[in-house]
Amino acid sequence: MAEIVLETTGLTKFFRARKAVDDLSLRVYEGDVYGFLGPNWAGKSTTIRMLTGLVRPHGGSARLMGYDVGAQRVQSLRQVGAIVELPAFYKYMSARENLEIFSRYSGGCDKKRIDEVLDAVGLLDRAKDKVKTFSHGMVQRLGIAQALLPDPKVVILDEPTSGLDPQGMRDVRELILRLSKEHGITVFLSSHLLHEVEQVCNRVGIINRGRLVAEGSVGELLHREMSIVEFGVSDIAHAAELLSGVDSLKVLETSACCVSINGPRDCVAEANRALVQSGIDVYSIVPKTMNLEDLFMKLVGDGEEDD
Amino acid sequence: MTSFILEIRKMMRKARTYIGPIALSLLTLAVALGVKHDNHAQYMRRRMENDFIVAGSMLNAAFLCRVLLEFIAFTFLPLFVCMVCADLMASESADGTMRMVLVRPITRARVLISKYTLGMLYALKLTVGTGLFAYLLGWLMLGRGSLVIFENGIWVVPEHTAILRLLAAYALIGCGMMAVGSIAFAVSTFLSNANGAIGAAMGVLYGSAVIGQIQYFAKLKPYLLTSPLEKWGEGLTGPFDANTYLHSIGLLLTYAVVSFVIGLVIFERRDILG
Repeated sequence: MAEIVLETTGLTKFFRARKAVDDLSLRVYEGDVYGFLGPNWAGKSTTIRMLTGLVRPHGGSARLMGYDVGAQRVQSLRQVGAIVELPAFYKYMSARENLEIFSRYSGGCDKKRIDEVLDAVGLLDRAKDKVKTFSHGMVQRLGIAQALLPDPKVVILDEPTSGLDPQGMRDVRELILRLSKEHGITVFLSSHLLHEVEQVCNRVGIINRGRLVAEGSVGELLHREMSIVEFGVSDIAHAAELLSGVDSLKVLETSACCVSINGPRDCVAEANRALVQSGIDVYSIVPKTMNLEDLFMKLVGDGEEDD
Repeated sequence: MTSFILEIRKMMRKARTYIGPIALSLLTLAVALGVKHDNHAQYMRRRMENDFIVAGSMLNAAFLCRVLLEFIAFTFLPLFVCMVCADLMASESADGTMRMVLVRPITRARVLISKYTLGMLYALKLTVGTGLFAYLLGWLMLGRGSLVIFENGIWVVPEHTAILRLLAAYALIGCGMMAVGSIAFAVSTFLSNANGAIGAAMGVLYGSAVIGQIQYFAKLKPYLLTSPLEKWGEGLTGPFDANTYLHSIGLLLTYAVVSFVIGLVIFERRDILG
């Protein structure tokens, strides 16, 4: 069993009466690329702020590298690199000077390491330029560079591809995968870009309105949740009416030749049996693959309906 | 020590750091030119030098230092000190760099202490530096000599004593600037806006001056920020009372320490959201 490097237990934070994070418990294991998904205002950034000690929780605790962030903040951040929201730099200094300054806060590093991280994010040739001349995307890349400076074991990235062009986004995704595969760095990646998370993460936590609504490996989550199956039938209206009456099934949509249902995998056979027994011809049963976006919309959408 | 050096490095790269020294140097030059070429001043000098024996020139370096302090002690000096002290915290909060610093393995107290120490050194250096510059400029332009003051009579302080007393006056004002700067610094720990912190500190300074004039608050007066600051001139016109100076310095440093502690407590507890 891999070691737990990042863990929250019952983490709760209020902003006045609003509960921004609600009893959040999650675990990230060594080597994970953990996608922390959620819509805007779901509580992702607040969670990351609590993980890095910027914000104090009203309840629960966070642990990084085995240290309690509240009680041992300095120790817990020693092997961690992070971007919290948009990276910010001293605009009147060059990229290199900024990295020198930030590296000193982590105990310092040599010029070679600064060149390495600048090279990794494609900014080595702009190292001497002042940050005020940088585009949004370049600042974002420099943010990733500063997170990598202390040679961290865990990297926390809050929407790292925000503001990047498609090529930049792809570069960052490749960089994250490289960090994980080649350097064994654990990555905690917050994002609302589902395809991004699906492409790079092996585990996912989905947060909505401050609550963790699902957590697990991407494959596990997709299989655990109900699947969508399309039935090609002879009598659409009759079939839709019949299937609507089956518990645990939900008719999603009907078209000219088929009915789409959503439900647990076990119910597919039951639905088929019900259709055949009612004299409806079944021409095809096509399982539709659920992707992370479907799952996300389902979980987040359900949450909104509940409220 | 590392974080203190980093703070120096950051401060040295900001234009705001140099506004105070440049403006005060220009002001010193303007005052020196005024003293040198003002007809009324020259007339007074000739009259005085006919009636008294004054060592050297009467309108001299010591005179310039004293006149300058009258001009700047409650106006430009606190403004420039507040500009820098408030900016140390507020600009980093507003720009988001504070967030970047605090996700590093460094305690909040260490960040705050480094910035505060630098702010206090700046306040002291700006005040004493301005005095030294005024003396050197005055020496070059006006010459040296005894310090002559017209205040409730005529006071003539021999040159060597005048230098020490002026140094004490500038040190007292320096402590006052530390106190005012500390207030601006403390406010900037929760206000991510340097202008607000400058306004608050200057408000305390001028508010103290106003309250000090109201008889109803007479009992409060000895403890107001302006009361110890106003003592700077006492040692120049009359016998030098070290106790008065030390008491005033103690009171001003108490303001500075209390402000620092308030800032520290706020900063330690505050959520960094910006």
